[in-house]
Amino acid sequence: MKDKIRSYLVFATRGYKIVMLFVLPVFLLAVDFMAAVFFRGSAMPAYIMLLIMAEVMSDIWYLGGIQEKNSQKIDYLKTSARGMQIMKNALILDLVRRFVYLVVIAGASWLFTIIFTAGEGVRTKLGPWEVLLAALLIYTLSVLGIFLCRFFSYLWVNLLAAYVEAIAGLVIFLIAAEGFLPVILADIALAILGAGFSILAVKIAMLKVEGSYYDK
Amino acid sequence: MKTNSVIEAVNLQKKFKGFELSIPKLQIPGGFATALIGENGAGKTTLLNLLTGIRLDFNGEVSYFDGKEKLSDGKVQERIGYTGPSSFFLPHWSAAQVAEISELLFDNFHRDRFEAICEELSIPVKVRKNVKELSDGNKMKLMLATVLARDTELLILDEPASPLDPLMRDKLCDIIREYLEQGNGERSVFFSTHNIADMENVTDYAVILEHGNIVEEGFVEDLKEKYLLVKGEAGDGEAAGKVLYTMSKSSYGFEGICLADKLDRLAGMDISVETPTLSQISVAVMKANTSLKLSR
Repeated sequence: MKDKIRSYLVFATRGYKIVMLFVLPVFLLAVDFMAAVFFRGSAMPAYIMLLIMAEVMSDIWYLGGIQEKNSQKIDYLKTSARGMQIMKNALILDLVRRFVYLVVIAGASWLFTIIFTAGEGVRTKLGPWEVLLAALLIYTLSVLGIFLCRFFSYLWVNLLAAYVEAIAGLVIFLIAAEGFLPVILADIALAILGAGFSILAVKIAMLKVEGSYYDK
Repeated sequence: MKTNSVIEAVNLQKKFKGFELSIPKLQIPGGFATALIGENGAGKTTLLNLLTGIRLDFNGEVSYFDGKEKLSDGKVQERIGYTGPSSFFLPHWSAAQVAEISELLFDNFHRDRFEAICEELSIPVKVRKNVKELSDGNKMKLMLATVLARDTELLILDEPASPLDPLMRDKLCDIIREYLEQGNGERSVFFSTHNIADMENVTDYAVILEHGNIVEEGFVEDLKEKYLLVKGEAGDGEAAGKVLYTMSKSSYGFEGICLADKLDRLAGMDISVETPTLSQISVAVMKANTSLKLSR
């Protein structure tokens, strides 16, 4: 497992590691904590947008353009029999990291809200299914975003996808949270879509990288 | 000279649009430094990519270390160190990340040795530069550091001298020589180069590639017996031109490469015969084959 985590980390820039793995989660948890303590509410809708944008935008500094036809094909990996496995580990661990972070942040947000509002008779609209919806929504949309953006290596493509998906994410969440959409059904649909996009993201990236052995 | 082969390729074929690499047989001798020489577009990088497994879409058989191992076994890569052109590392990788990925890719990578080589080659590791921020020369030095930090038996280097300054080219020759000496005949180096003159003193065997075909190969000492450098008076130029392999003329005289077995046909002319350099032989062979192709 240690080597798999190293495989994931080795593809990330120092800035990506600091911002995405440390600064952003800590910042979001802090914001959520303060929202719960001072405003007796949750910042969930705001950071559904923020997280989708951050995840999609920052991927340009991780494996941006890896599925592009004439991308950097990292020949060094091909000089070892383990190169492709390391690449695959990195792609899978990247998705696992995203999922774990999102569930932890969404879960912590919910817990803060419950803990700091419970004694005061304030009832949050957000239940566990809504929290799961938020996490799955952020995950599924950001995986779809990175999958599409990895066909290009332009920051503006990631930016555009990040804005569109952030707005879409917020709209879907509000529709579901306000009761216009059955939340459990939306959870199931997003889980299936998220799994599908994840498989697609790993498979297509590997096909493209391995294809460079064969002029594809 | 009979030697063991470190790479053997049979019926190697790779087609691109308007180009075909076609090598019926290739044997790179073990324990020596072999230079792969050829003009731009001759197929040097393509050949090296096929031999190192960077490209797998080709016909033919390639085996390593006396034909005992194949790339598909997955073990031979540990014994080969390869440095290639541009898209080798991720541009945003730092030297520390290059060391990190090298440790993951190869069991026989030694980080302490890598750091010592980086220090020795003055690669700016400590200023946290990314690969894309390094000069071409420093990129090459970084690639060399990764392969030299491993316990390998064969180095395959694609144009290692091209981006290096004259001082570093000299150092590269020392590195290759030292690598071979430390191997006691068990280590080999196969490199492509345009800088034949700079690399000549470290080259034992040469393979000259033109238009995807091997047009000449052999140990340098044998090639220097096969080809001779002939200089003569301008008046003999026309007659000598019919015998010489390649020739250049001026108002003062002519100079050209002659096959040793045709030297007696120059009898009666006022000529001097010298041993050519590998560079002169290579240019002559390339010229001859290029003009043959062009005249068709």
